[in-house]
Amino acid sequence: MANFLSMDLSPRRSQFWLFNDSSGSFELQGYASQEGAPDDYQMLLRGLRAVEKQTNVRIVNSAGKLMPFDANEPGGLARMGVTLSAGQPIRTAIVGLSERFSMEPLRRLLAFFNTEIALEINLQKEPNISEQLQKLANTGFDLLVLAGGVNGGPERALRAVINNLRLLAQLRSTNRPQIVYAGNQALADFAKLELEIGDDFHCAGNIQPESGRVDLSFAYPALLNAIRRLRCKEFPSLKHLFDHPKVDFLPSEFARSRMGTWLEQTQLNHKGVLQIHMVPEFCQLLASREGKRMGVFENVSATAEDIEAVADILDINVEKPAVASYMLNKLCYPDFLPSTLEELSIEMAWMHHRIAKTLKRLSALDPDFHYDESLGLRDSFEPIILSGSSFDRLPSYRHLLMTVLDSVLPTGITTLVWDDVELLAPLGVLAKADSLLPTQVVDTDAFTSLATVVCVESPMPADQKILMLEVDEGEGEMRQHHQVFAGDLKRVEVLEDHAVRVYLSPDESSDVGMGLLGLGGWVSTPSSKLGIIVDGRGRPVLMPADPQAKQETRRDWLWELGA
Amino acid sequence: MRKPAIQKNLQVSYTAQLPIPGKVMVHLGQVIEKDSLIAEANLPARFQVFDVLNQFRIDPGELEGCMKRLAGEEVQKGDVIARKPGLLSRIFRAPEAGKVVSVHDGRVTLAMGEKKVQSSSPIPGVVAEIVPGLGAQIVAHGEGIQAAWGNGKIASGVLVEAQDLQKTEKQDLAEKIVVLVEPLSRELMDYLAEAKVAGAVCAALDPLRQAEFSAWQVPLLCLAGFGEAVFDAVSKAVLDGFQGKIVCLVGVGRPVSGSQKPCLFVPRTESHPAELFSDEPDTLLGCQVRFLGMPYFGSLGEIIEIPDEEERLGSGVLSQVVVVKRADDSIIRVPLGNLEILSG
Repeated sequence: MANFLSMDLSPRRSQFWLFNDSSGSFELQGYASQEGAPDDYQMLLRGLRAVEKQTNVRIVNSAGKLMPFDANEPGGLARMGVTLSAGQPIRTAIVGLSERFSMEPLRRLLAFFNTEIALEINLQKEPNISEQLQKLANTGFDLLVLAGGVNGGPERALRAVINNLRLLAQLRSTNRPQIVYAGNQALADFAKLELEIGDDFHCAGNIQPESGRVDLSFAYPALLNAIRRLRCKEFPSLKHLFDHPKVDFLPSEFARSRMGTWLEQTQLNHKGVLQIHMVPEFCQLLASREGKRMGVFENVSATAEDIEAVADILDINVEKPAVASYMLNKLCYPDFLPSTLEELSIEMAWMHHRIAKTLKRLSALDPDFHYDESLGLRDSFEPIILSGSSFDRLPSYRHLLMTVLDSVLPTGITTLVWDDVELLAPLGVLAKADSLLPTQVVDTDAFTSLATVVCVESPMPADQKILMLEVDEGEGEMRQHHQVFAGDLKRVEVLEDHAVRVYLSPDESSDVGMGLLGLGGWVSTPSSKLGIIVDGRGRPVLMPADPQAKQETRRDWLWELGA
Repeated sequence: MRKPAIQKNLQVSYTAQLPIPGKVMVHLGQVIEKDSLIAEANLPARFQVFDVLNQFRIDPGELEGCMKRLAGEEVQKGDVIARKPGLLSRIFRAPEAGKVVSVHDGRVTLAMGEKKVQSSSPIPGVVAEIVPGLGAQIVAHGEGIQAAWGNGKIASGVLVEAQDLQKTEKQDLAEKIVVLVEPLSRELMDYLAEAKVAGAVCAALDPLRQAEFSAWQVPLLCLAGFGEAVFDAVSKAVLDGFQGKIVCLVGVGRPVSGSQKPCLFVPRTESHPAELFSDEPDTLLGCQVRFLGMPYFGSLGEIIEIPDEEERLGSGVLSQVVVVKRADDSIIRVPLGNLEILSG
């Protein structure tokens, strides 16, 4: 029996999972969650002891140290994974040869992780090497990523900046930044020898492997290593854990996206996989589509623009100062729970805004991700996987679905899935140790299906019929027939734990994502908490102009999903 | 168990560090005074990189013959750094006094002038951790009160309360930390800035002016948060006890990122073992609390019961709650996260 332990360290809460194959295939055996700072040893010990208690697997000894890893020992640990989302944003400098093939891709690469860009040097716009050195020396950053050129292409500008970095490394000998080189590979050895900074240098593949093509996947291993070293410095008490040969470390966003990429590759629907992980401190948006990994790490904010936007999407009339108070106080007290309907309305509107803002940011960063705040997602994603304590604190699944549906505005047919115990990060980090583990755990119905959402886009005016549905719950029961009108948000309740088939028959001008206007067909839907949701509100969503009527409409939609 | 906001032995940590690496001037365990230098970086004010090979259009083999100065040498303004011999001689001179910091790969780099960047500790305390090359974490103890929000600035000075600030002479407020009993208006902000107060403490702030408060040059601390509230009696009694004493206002810290909260404290000079002053209550029963949400924002109560079962709130959210008796004897059931525990 092989035991695999995983730990996720987030800003104020850590989680622990233990998987093993005692039943013949891998399953989740124990789970614990503890509040506290990620480097609080007592908190970590409490979490590990809680998992020990559930599973009877010895994880820590009487002195509070991790038991030796021994996969052959009965009850021994085979491997451990640690994912981390705690820590300050990493101050980063990016240096590239061109806006389109270096700077834009580097911004995209770094936005995936918890980073903030402190300095950008575009070598075409800033050819003066004295100025470059000046900027590098005068800006505080912990990570520098350098890219540019195709392999074997011109070297002069890159050589000059590498020379400057050599000098910078000498100037900052006591606290050197991590340097990731992801440019013209003809200079990779030169950069390594020139800089002479040992393990602080990370050589990646060229993110522009051939002229006109960008592939960020070449940069990830080196960047992950640089991030691991920076987090070791930030949390010195965790260094022994991060450096342990039997422990795999990944930023939690990367671990989750590995699972997203794997799910996308294994499913047959040719759609992407979208993940939204939201906690009070940040939101991670991760998309996998056509083999490409995309994502954004967005820290929470409550600026005047955020407050304005949230006030505009409430479903109850709340004065703007009250909205602002709630948001700003929630930043001060992240454990605050909405206790009135007004507070709940603000909370949901804020989550809606955070998701939409993150989607918009990814769309602006990545030309392959298409989202418009009023038109919603322009590509098909299924499933959309949700996780995180912010969603967990909502009163019901319908509140969760409504918040996500209104911000994501999916297209076509999709399934919304709830990752109850946030399994994707631990599975992602442990996948390297044993690829069977994630495959078998995902097959154990580890996730909760929330609903199948059918989005109908139609030019028909409000209240005109756009879709007919025939619901077959099987087992010889009568089939239900439903009509959907433009502007409707309709829930078709089906028995829980009951997969059903639905026949969609759209009007000839309506699109349900089957590939052609008016094209319908049978769709199998998995058993879910809320059944089938038909979104006939169109894109942009049909909304009254009057603010009060708008709020009433939002409330009606929530009611439509069930009391 | 959450620690209360008011503590006899509040531990405050502050990391004083340089934006760019330099030299740390303190050692672990060192007792430091307010404004002690923690770290310093001496940087060249300007750099000049001269590409000798390309500018002189020479081959690498000719470089050595052209270089007149070596790396590490000091130079004066006008000194010849490199010269291309020949009929049409070309010269690179030092534009100002400085040092040749590098001659490498056909390029010579001059560093000129000096720029000093320093980091000092705005609070007295003990060096608890060295951040190599950047600075140190300073830990201080003292009687203190944690606040909901601070504008990221730090100050220390004698704490005073002025009932009618506009009628108080500005010179009486200079370098003091002022407890504000009236709302912080634009006019009052200008007045306090002109009076050169060291800092200000208020009960609550107008949420629509948060950006203005953040940008205010005066260190600011807000105990209850954003909304309308006056000082609660428990916090006010603590502030009254601090009057006339030198206090430190630490307006940095953001709970959302897991770091410590902003606070106001009277630094203790003598050292005490922390365990003698454990402020953590054994039970939440009897704790005095402040409401964080509407409609009781900023008001006081006492925890009188802790039910085992989770309850549905008015919003429909399911949560563990505590039962709180307010000053007017009304009984409220509220999630623990919606309360600030003031004292045990």
